[in-house]
Amino acid sequence: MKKFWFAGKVAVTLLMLYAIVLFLIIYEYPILGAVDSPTLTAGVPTFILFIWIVNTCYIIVTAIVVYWMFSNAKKIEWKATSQKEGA
Amino acid sequence: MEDFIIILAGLFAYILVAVYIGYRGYRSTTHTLEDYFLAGRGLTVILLFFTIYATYQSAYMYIGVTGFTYTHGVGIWYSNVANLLMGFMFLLIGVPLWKLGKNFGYITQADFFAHRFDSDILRLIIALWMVLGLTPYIGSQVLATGRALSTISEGAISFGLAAALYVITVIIYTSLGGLRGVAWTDLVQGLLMLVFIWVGIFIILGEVGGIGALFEKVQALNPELLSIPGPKGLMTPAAWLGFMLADGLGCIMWIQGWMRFYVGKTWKTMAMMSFLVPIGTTLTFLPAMLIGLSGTVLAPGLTSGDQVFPTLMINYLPVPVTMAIIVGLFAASMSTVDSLSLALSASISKDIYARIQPQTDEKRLVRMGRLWIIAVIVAGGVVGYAAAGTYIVVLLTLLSLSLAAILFPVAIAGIYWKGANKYGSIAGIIAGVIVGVKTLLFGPEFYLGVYGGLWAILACAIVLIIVSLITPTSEKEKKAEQKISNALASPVITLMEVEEAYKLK
Repeated sequence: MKKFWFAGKVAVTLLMLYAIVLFLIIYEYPILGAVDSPTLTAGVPTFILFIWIVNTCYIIVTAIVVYWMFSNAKKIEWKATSQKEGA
Repeated sequence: MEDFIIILAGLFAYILVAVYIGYRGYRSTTHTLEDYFLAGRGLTVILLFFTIYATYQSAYMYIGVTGFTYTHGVGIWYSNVANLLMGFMFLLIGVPLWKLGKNFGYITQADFFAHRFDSDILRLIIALWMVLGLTPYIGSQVLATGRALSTISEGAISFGLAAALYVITVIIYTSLGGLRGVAWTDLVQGLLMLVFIWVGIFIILGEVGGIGALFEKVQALNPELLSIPGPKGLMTPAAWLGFMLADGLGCIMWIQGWMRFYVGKTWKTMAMMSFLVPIGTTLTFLPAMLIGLSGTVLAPGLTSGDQVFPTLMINYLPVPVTMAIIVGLFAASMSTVDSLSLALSASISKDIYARIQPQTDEKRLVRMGRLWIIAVIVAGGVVGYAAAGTYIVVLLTLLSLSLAAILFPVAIAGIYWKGANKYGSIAGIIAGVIVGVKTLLFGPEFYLGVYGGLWAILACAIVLIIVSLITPTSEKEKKAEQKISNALASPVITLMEVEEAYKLK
């Protein structure tokens, strides 16, 4: 795993795990199939309701993660001189 | 017919605005590669959001998503989830690529791969693959808008004439303004499409009796439309997974998406796209899906799902609203093709032409870029014309996405795995292309129930890993990887290889 100026190796690994859990488990069939139903829930198809709830959670959680990245990152600076090869 | 003239007048007014913005972009561009193709790497949050949003929400949304919902039901939300995946990838790929682009002066998508793996062959393969893989997508846009205009005019404007009008407009404003012009037109186009699709659905829902009544009527008529796998059984677990990954990863690997990684003013601008883009796409998917479902109530029995939105417009919307939505459709479609053709022309100029003619200076490359824009749009138009009556828009788009997604394992390995080498990358891409072409173009599209696009990505990943492990990595590759790792870890931006990046002589 790589280290970034905005996140260390552990944080980047956690970011990847977040994506895997979200897109390969929560948004996938074992869960979608379980919540899916031809009946309506609160007047809305259950499937659509579930997707919207998860989408909203994604947007909130990811915005928090991004805010954390902003506060955690080292300030980007411009350096006019060339770095040494491989430095 | 008189109604149609009003619609056409609105469309021409919009076209004039787009061309004017392109002209303004032309006046403010300095005709360097960086300025013309990347808007000087200076797009702010609003401009970047709208150029990404408008680029991805194409005619696919107006015609494809509505038509797919009409036929297969709510399973179309796989594509919305794919958009979220694409948004998230801004954190894992977009932000790192922004830094690398700034550090090493990348212009095209292939610049990163050629630098990381020290391989001009890889550069050429990626550039050619994008040109070949994305031409069908330009075709799908021409197909969708041409079909819509022809349907609405009740044949007064033929499909061919509509396609020609579309192609000429995009060529003019894109070739003039470069990315600066494209970004501003995308802002206007993004707003138009977002506003007008909501206006349309509010009126159509009124015809159905409201959103609650819509769901109740669909449930009574065909309840399978409201759940997965849908009435035709398309959205099986394996199909959902395959479609979603091919769509989301293809979006991120599309050349026009990739080059957006270089254009943010700061890295924070890029990071914010991870949650802003999903907000935009979720807000657009909802009305598009509702239009498709409304079609099953108001216009049952259409031979092709792609006809549903134009049919509803003709029968249920007042003329001014129809005009606005047609403008929105054109805007949605053009905002995709302009970005795509610009990115492809950058790649042809820098990755292919500049290698064949290394003496070419930057200004000439920009001029050549304008000609390539014409070439790729015309080629795409021919594909769309030829595909009329064969593929539906969603599947044509998915084909293009899948062909691009083959590169995803190489991109991830290039950033995160220092053991990846050029032999592995080239072998992986070749394996992915063979599997992708076999399954997606020659069929069967599904193998063991899984979409061929996913098999192509897996083939690329497996071969990339195996070949990288058993072949040597050159010293130059190791050094390049080290420099990239250092650049990603360092908070310092240093244009380390400016001469190399722009080395054209």
